[in-house]
Amino acid sequence: MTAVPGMTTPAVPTTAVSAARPDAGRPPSALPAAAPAGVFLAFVLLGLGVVALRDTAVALQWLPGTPWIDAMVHRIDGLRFTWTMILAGLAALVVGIALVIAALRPSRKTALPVTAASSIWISPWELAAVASYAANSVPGVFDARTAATRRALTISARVTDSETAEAKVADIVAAVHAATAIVAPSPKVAVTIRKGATP
Amino acid sequence: MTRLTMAADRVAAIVVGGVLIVVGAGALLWHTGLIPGFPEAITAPAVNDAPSAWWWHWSVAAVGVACTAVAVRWLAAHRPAGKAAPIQLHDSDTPGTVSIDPSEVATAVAEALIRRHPAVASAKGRAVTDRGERIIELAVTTGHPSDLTATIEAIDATCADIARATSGAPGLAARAMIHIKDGRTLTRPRLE
Repeated sequence: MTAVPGMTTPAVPTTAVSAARPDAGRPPSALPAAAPAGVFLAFVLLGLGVVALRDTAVALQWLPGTPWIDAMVHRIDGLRFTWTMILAGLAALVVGIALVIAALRPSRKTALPVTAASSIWISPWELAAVASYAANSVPGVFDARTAATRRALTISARVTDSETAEAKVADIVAAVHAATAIVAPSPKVAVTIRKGATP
Repeated sequence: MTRLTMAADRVAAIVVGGVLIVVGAGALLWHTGLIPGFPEAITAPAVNDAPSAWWWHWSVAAVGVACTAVAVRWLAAHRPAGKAAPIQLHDSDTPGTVSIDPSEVATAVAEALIRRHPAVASAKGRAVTDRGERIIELAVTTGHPSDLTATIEAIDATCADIARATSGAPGLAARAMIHIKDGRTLTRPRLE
């Protein structure tokens, strides 16, 4: 592995693992997609409840007007096709598919586990900052930026000498691997060298 | 949010979504003639007569109360994670009360991290109930990427302290998230 001058490589922590630790707890994760769908449906249910209570108040002559639910029920009997049903059908289909997708989509994990005895996590974008710092610490490399997902770090950087770009790619990969060894498994590292003016 | 709420969200979304897909597809296919025997008009005389029945308005009232109550309870279940309740340590047959307040532990741990470890730039602690589990959540910011190892070791040692301090407290977990101070600016050029 290539040593990078000026960069203190974060090694895997060496704290004794024999000491007891609290339970790890569940991994940090984003709200499931079904949660906003649930809030939406709860508001729809609340609307139905309010309309039903309003109709009851109308039936008991506490409020003026006519019951809306009764009117809707009377309209269902004898309902025939109209072209507006195409639009309504499309809307129902789109909302229905969105709800089913939201219900089936699992919660997204938002962080990567750090190799330690305790439950320690780091988000991919924080790891991207570590990777950018490691890449920028390689001599002859500047303006390194990192895009991150949970599985991969994609680094784009400029180099002062374009003739040594290939060697710099290897140096950057080694430096980033060393700096991000705190997470397991290590994310894949890809490097592209951008063309541009030297500093 | 509890696991029960998550399950309710998923079941409701899949049931309502399924009904909407069927109704939507039916509306789209109604006039195409692709489905033989599709009626020209919906006839539901029983439904039409229902509003004039003696029980109708009482049924609407009951449905209104039930829908409103369930909806309010369902919305309340989506509140952000609540503060973890204190943990009683004593047995039921032991006189006196000994309890641990996880929130106080979380705050003290965060303060200790900042005070004892120079690599830690800032730390915040809170105790919440996450999916039915009491958990101490630490958000620890390290001053620099080169301090990452020292920060991880500091958190590890602190978690060991939590375990020692709360030994005997059942069901208390701890989790830490590491942040990098000014992490975004590190992705910009360093031309010094």
